[in-house]
Amino acid sequence: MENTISTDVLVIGGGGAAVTAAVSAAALGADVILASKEPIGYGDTRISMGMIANPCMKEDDSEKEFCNDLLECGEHLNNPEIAWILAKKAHRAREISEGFGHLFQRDKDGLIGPGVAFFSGGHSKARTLRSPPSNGIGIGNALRAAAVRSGVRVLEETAAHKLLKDGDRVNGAVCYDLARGGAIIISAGAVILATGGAGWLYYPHTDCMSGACGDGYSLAYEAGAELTDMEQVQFVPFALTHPAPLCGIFFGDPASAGPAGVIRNAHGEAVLHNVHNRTRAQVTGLMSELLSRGEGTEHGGLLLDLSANLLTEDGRRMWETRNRLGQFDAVRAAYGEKAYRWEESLDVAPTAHYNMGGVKVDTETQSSVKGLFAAGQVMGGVFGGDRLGSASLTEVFVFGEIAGQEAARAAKGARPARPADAKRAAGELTGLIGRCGKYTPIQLKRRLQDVMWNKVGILRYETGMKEALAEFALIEAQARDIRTCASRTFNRDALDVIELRHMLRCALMITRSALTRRETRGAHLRPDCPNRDDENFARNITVRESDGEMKISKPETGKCHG
Amino acid sequence: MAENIHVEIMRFDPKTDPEPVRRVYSVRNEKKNTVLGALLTIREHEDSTLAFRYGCRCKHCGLCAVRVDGLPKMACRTYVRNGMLIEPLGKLPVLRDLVTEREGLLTIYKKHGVFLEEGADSDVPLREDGMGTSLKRCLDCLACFSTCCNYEHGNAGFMGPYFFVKTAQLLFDPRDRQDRRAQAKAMGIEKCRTCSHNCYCINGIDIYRHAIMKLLGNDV
Repeated sequence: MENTISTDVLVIGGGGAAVTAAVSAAALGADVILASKEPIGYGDTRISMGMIANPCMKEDDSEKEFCNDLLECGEHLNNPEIAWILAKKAHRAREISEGFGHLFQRDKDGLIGPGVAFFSGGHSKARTLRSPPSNGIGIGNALRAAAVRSGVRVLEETAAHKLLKDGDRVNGAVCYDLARGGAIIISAGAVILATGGAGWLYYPHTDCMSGACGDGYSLAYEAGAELTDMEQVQFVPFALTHPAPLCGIFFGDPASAGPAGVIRNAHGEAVLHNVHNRTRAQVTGLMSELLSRGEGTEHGGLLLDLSANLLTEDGRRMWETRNRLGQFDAVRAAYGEKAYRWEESLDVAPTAHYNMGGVKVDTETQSSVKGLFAAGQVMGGVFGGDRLGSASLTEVFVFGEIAGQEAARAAKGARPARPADAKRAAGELTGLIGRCGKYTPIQLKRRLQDVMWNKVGILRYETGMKEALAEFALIEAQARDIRTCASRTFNRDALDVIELRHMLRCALMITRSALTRRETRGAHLRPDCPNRDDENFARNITVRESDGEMKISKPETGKCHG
Repeated sequence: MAENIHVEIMRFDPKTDPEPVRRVYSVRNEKKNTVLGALLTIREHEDSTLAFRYGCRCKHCGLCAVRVDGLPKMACRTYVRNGMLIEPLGKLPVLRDLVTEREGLLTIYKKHGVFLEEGADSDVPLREDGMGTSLKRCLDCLACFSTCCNYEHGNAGFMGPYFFVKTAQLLFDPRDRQDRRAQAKAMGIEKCRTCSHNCYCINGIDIYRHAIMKLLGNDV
């Protein structure tokens, strides 16, 4: 039960980077297939705040300034050449997304001018565009329309299981058709990964879409590509802790604490002042320390007290602005009216938001394996150790376009015959239906998520991470003894198996990289190695597969400079 | 609070089952638990074969729309109560359990040109109409289909309220130059003149007044 198709360029993903890559490749005359695990336009782009960094709207801003902000925030783990491309081409993000049908907020004259530039977290200049009232939904819907308009072939609810190779070149993928339950073999002259991040490794402590299982990192790794900075996972500080279905939903950055916001422990004592002037990593780190010392509430959070902001004109205006953007809608749903109006403290805990690391690429988004490209969150190098607010949506469009164009060129005349190793991979997929083993894949996923949150989360200790490695091995063993639904149609169990495999591989890459970085830098916090160690670690940690082993660019030795 | 509550879920695999069956599930009675919370708990602890879509858990991604006691709702924004009946959206073919067919939507976009034309100028002064802004609340959740009295899946003569909202978004886009009223006519909007205007949007769009009436013109 398999279906074989062939194309010039295969794009895997369904958000901003994927659609931009597909449309850009098609514009150069390539035949393109866009295969997305969710319906097109339903990735993390959709549920973002719909904000893009768009430098140079004000006279005092420049591409250079934006680039400096990127490097400063990334603690210089960024690839400076790639960061510079983002800065130089940032204007393409608005041009492309509005060309797709989206509209960012205009000023009173109907223009994009200094008046609509907004300060986003970590930037030295106001340069962020917003898109109320639809926010990311507007972009998501524009992506759907753009995919249709471009004439690319779209395969929705189609999950990538494995990349195919001919010698040293990637030449297609085997995918799983969720609606019908069969395998699809796609042979392609070039493949672009645009699969987003891996926030779901930390569910429920994440605000990412349920599909953000790190598929692309895993696919690239298995195909032999090099990945960089996988230990750099961004957590953001203010997410809901309860009720259970809303745990992990993000509503605010440090800046949203306002000048008078303080964090209190379960006893109501102020434990963290001056919140709004600190970075995401600083606030999440301090909060996690307090929580690990047992200062948290029964819901596992701390109390964000914003009430003092209401005493000032500025603070009240801030409340109004943020609520116009719908930023506190989830707070109202979870905690009620008083919390929504900042009259009552909010129970908050950090949540996983973004992966800075990813597939290592050159300035043309080409990975270390021929025929394989990456764009968007799955691509590494641009943000290094930490990411500026609103820069990811800029990145998605800028590098999506480059990837599409470069892959179209690389695919010319390279359309392969049906890849030889496809049959076996397809067989693995059809074998996922109606298994009668002991564990359901959803249970194993949940176990893995708990291990990641507890042992490879915000604060990372060598002992905990080593325990995590042992747990991964156990889960991997149990994943050979699974029980799945017998229906071929929309079989979530089968999809869980595919995702669990990707997640396990990502968990291993993150943990091994995190063990190797025996220092604290960017979003990677090691209380057992609390200082930044430029002498030994002012460089990237990369991973790749070689002869069935995970090879790490730097050996797991050396002592902490504590 | 500790006692369990019961919900009924419509289970159906059209490939093997003669007809849909209601199955009763027990979930813990927790404060502010949502329908999605209940579905996730059932999958994790009781029956992993239950099929439903979801994505963001609260941010309006639009994937988890179902019918609760007959009315379309976002599962992530609806509190679960004892005795609730949870069904797939109406009027759309069921793939399995709570999952309805999405195939074919993009083909209709393509056939009727429901997108901003290539090369539209975004660099001139642009003022958005307030009505256009309100239509942007569409989540693409497809729930409006299930409340439309004229909609029949697969009937090429009537595309249904979702496509009228999409077309009206373009009608109010200051960059758009196409004749969207003519397009709506080709999509069968004339049928809306004589219906009972039951089309309902989960996210608060007044579909009849703000989309359909505007596309029909002033002669309603």
